Amino acid sequence: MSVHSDPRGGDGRALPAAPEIVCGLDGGRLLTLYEPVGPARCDRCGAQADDVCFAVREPDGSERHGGLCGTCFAELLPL
Amino acid sequence: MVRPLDLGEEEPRFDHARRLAHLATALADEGIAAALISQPQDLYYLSGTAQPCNLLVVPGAEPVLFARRFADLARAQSAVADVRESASFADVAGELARRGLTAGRLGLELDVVPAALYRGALRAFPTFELVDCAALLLAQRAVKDPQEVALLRASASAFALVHETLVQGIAPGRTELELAADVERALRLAGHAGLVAQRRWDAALQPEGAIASGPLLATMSGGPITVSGVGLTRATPFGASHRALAPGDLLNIDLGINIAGYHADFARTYVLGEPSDEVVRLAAIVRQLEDAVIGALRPGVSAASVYRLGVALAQELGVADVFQGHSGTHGPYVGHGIGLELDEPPVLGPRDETTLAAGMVLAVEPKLISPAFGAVNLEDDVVLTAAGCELLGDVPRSVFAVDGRGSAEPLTPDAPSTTATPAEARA
Repeated sequence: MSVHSDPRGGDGRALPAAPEIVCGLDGGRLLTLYEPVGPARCDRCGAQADDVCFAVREPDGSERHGGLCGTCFAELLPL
Repeated sequence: MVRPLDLGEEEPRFDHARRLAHLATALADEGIAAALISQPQDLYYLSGTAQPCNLLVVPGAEPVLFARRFADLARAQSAVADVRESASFADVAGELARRGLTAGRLGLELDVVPAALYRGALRAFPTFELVDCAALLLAQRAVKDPQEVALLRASASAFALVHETLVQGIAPGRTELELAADVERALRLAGHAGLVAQRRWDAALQPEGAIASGPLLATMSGGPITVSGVGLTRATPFGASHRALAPGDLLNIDLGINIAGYHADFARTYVLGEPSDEVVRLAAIVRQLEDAVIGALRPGVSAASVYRLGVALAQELGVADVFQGHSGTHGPYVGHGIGLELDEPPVLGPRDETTLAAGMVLAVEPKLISPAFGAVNLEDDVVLTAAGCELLGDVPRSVFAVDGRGSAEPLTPDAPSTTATPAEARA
């Protein structure tokens, strides 16, 4: 079990672990959506990304992480 | 050109006994003594008739259909053997008492039952606790049986008529309303019921759906649809308007197609004349988003995780600010179930942790919306299979450039540019 922040108010819903999803992008890149734990920082404010986390792997093997924190997720997509 | 659809048998046949038994088991599992079903689509699903009735389902006992009106039709159409003419809750309470049920939890569809009816139930069943059984029934309805998938496939195939009609009809000077009339005529003659069932009290949709163009594409108005159009007057503030098309305009259609009660849900965007480089770029992005979401759909994946994939990809592609809306009007979903109603669970949105299952039929609808360009939209329907999902319908998944003389070219290739899979399926 992992704990998501709740984009509606941050009450810490417990959610079952979601399987990773891997998505092929143009240019041979791979985007992997993973559970909101780990090294990702929010692309918008730099806080821990605890709502949407993903990694993009380039064809040369390099990888960077992206994501959104609950606050920015809620601001971006008001629920 | 109008092509009637061949549905085979005039009236679809379903296994109502299995459906009723499934609901009875679910009720028993939840400790619900009985359910009283009255919403038309739920009634049709369980009994085979959409005549105004109250259907009493009691675990371990035969169901009873209380026909509020038109009992002869209900009796002729329903798969329920015991049909009685009564609009009175007192008769239902009497039947419960006859079966020894004088207290316990009584399920109603509390998501849609009108307040007046609920208050009547409080008076008629004072010793029962009235509880919501809609979620149980909707979860059951979310997984379609083969007959339902066949009907949804028929509804989806009718979208080709819509596409054909718009390609023929889009031209400078023609109005959204004229195109709406063209689409409605083609669909009605093909068997579209003309009604779009929605499980909410504050929404309606025209038979031809929402048609919008130009700057009206980014104006969300009047209901739950994101690319809604503004309608003909303030009294009906969604759908086609009197706006006339001009070269370079984008036009969007988003509609439900109801064949034999089952709704397909599709959307396409068209550009009149030569598309700008920006429209071509946005068309490629929205196709990439749809490919990713469709590629992620398979049994075992949660609805919310598919939505988060869409958000992550939109963020990566630099379109998060205009993904599913703009300026605080973003719709928190990338798809939803379809069936006897246009919008059914599960919702591919952040709040829905439903685990997807084979047999679910979903509409996938990524869109980019902004006052800067209007809207670029794709919506397609899929049925989940054991291995992933299968597309319903056969209109290429693309924005189309229409020349105003009856020809159209897709802006994106039909071969998927992006695929998504659960990591464990990749190995």
